[in-house]
Amino acid sequence: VITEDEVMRVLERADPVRLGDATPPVDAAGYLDALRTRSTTVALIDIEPPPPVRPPRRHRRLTITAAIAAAAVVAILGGALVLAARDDPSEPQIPASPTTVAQQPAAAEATARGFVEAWSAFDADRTMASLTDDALAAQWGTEEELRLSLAFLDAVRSKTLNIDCEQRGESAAGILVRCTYDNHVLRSDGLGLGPYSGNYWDLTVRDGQIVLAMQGFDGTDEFSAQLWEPFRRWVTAAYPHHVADMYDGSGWRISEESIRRWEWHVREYITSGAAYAEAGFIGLPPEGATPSTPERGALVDEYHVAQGAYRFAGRARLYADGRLIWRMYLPPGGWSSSTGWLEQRLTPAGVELVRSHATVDEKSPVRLHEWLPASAWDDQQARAFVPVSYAVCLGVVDPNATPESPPMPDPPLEELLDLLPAPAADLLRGREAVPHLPDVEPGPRPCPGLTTEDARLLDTALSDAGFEQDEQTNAYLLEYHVDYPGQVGTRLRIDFEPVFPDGTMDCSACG
Amino acid sequence: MSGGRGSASAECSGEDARFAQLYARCYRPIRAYCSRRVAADAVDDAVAETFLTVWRRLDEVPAGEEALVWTYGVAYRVIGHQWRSTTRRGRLQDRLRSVGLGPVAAADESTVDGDEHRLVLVALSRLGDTDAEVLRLVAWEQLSIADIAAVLGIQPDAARQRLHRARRNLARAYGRLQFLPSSTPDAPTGGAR
Repeated sequence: VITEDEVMRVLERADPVRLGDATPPVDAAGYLDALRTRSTTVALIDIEPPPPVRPPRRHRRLTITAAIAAAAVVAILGGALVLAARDDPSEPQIPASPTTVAQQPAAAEATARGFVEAWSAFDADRTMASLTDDALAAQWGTEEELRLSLAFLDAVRSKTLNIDCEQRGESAAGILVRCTYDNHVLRSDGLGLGPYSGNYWDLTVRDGQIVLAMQGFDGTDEFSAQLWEPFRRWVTAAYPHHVADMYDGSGWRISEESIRRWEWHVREYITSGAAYAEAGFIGLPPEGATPSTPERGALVDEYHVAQGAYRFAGRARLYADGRLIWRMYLPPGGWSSSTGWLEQRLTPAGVELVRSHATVDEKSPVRLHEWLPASAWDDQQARAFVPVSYAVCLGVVDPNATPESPPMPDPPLEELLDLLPAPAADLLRGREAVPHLPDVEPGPRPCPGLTTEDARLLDTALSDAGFEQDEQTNAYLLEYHVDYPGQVGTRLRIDFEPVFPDGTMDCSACG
Repeated sequence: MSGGRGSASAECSGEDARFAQLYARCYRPIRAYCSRRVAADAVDDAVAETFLTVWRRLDEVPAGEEALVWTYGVAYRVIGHQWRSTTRRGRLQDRLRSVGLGPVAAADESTVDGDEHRLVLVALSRLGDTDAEVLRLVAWEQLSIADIAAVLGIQPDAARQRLHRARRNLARAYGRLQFLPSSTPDAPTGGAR
């Protein structure tokens, strides 16, 4: 089974021509001479050799270089990793101290902290150096499994913060130290989510070594709701045949193969926009939603959102007051749906960094986390952009138009309003048209502006009159349509577009 | 249309400079566009015909980045429409239908990728002409819906709907090919229209 997204990626890679690095000689003057002297029977030009063969490129397919005999199965509870099953489920045995040793709490805490820091840095050698063989065997099984689990944490972008170690008690086995920490995982920091708290290590320290390491969690399920479950839903939908590699029941599966999948998909989850799929809304805002403030703002930059091979995966608007308002198609090359318009907030310095950044790819909101410093964000979490008002655009379209079809002129607005139910037409008559940026659809069509409240009334009026919504189009924006009289197959379309802080509108269904 | 341009003097003019700018900006992407759709020995002709049209219709070429999209539209018609009604018809169309897999099965590709590429190109060739072109424009020229609509001369809505349909049909065609007893492509082409 191959998904539409996957087959499109295969098609991208099957491009018979890649623009090579060698710049072909461009001789426009010579070309003009050829044009001016051409005959209908003589080849016009003798210009470039065929495009250069594309250079070898890295094979994208994940390859397995080795396999492990027994994969560790780790369950995730709110961001903390807990060993859930291993080959040997027997309880760890803590050897009693052969002699009474004067315990040094400060030294024990330092040992414990050193362990957590090494573990957080994915430094297997340093982690193991602080563990007795029994402790390693009890928690990870083998050195290889420990290394694999650290590689996994690295792959899922685990970041440990705010480590705090404190003695919790003492026994014949040693000093019990609890090290609490916050963490980011699944690139939550790139999404402006987390860090998630409630994680801890309980470490029993004796003679400068950790004789027992137990990991736990006593926080809330915020991580699960914000990231774990949405990510799993996305993997299940987009890569159903990878689920078995990545998950084992409710936890994640660790193997060399799964690590590659996790690393790839965790990154793609953000860059594809999927991580933002549930942040916004399509159409009119939920009742009671607070409009974005301030009501007006100066637009300082506006650009297409690029994603991978797709240069037109969405649009972004950057405002002097720090608002970055954007949307992306989901998936970027598929236009199956949209994130809806989202809003993040930058500091003044962040605005300037983004505005002046030359690389369009990196200006994509889904890639800003890769280079923009955390200090550039005022609020990195993407939230739904709630507009103050809407533009309502009316036009006539022929969904079955072919390349040979003549362009369809837009009738005057008044003529189109006559086709609406009276309450709807009354709402739109006499309204000031909302301007749009020069390169934005819908071209010259007038789009009367309405407050959000009036837009709701219009929505109701059209719905009550039996105007239809198309499931496909309404994955991007609120749109009604109805048969347009006089031309079979043509439709009158009524689009609801948000009005942005600079007073202009955009096209939510355009690239 | 400025029909007289083809016989204009060689005197340097603003038109020359304008054309030179367009040529410099558009040559490589247009050549790539043509190379993706016609056989290697027909590429020069297709490119030449495209720029001849650009030259003759220089007044109609939009400014800025839209010029490239406009020129894609010219190339689309040169390859898919205009040439069918010219004396070059047989010459070009024969080659359109016989595009091989040379560049696709290039040595730098693994066997697995090569197989995937063959399958996807065969699947592509089984779609309708316009649907296949929409997919090529998305995957290879990386155009937006609005630009695809401009190239094909259709409404953005229609382009979007075609894209939805084409993606679905491509996946289905690809899936069917995967499960054929022999998946050897019989009519592989990246660009036959």
